[in-house]
Amino acid sequence: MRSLAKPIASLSIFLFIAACTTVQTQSEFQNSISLSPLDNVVLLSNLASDQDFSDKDVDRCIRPAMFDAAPELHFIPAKQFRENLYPYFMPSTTPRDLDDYRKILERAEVQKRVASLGVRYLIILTKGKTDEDWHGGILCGAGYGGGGCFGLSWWDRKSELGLAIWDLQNKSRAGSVQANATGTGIMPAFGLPIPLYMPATESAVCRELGSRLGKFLNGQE
Amino acid sequence: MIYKALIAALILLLLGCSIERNVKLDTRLPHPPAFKQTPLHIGVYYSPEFLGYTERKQLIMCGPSGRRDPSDIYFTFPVGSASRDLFDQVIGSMFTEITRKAGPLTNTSSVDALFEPQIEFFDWDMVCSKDFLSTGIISAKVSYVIHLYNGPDMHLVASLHVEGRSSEKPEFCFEECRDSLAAEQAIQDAMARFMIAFQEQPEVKRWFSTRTATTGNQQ
Repeated sequence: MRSLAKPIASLSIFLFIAACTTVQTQSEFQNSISLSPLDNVVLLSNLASDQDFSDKDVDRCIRPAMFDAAPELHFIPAKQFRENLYPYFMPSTTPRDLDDYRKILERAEVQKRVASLGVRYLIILTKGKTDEDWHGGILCGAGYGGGGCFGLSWWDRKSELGLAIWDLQNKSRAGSVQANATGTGIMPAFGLPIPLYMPATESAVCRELGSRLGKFLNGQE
Repeated sequence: MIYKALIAALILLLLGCSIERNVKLDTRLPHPPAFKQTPLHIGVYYSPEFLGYTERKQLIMCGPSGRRDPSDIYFTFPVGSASRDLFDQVIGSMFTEITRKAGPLTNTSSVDALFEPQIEFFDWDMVCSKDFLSTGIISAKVSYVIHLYNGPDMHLVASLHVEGRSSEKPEFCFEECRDSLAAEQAIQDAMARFMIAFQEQPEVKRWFSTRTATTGNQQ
């Protein structure tokens, strides 16, 4: 057992050094924009396709970093937007493409509600998922004299998020931004399995996307 | 609410009891829908089966690697009365005049059309993720068939099938707890689908054009 402890400890140290979270971002913005002080922004999850991210999750993920990048932004709560725009933006009635958005935004009743809320930009989740892939192994055993675990596990974690930005005033797609983050977590077990490093891929993606969107809406990108 | 119920369940399970909970559903919308009203007089008939429709569902807990563990907690959802509350509001925003009918054939000559909604099914379940530390998402689905009859002759114009669904993560809740467990949102989703699909149905479009032509109303 002692002969195995050394290589496992060395491997743990190596993986610990190697374990870091890397983020890749892709963005495509149609035009640079100028937001007036009366323009509001709304952040929505995609209830039609994504069960893992609710409106609250999207808000928690994106808003803090957006606000850091552009403190002058005003946000309308997703709940208020959905309640005012019913029957649209429900799971079965969320518009999917430019045609859908145009059809909805051309309706006088919808225009009236959007104007009364002062919403200029709608930022909606288009993709959101986190995958984990586990490697290695930990063996646990117990006897009369006690018990414990021994081994090493590590896992690759990948989070991907994508958002589309719709300009509700001009009835057009203003852009889209996607990011993914990968990282490796390590959990050695010398008696008890204790994770040494847990890759915070999701929060890394959220920070990156929020910052990009804040800068875009601020006219910095 | 689930967590309150779980704590109570732990206590009661030790005593060998199960928990029954009648869920309160408030499907009414805080604002009238963003929809253009059509100037028609519409009758609505809710059958006793529709109004009395309830579903009793067992709460499933998520065990390791997505294992489904049935609990002794049961929820009863008053789907019929909750659907009526929202349907009243939705129909009221779609047409200018609404009359509630006591029977399907009661004095239909005074109305341009009669709606009769029926509930096909209501499903409510916990979906467990497959990972080791499995987490659950509450999922609700509801399906309706809504019959539209031509007012004077009670000829069936169209039957619309609409489905609504919703999912919600169970959350710790101490204040302003919502009791709906995704059911309210599923009903609201189905009715939203109905409002939009109704206008797109070819039979309804044809009926609309003849009806508005005979009554002199315009859409």
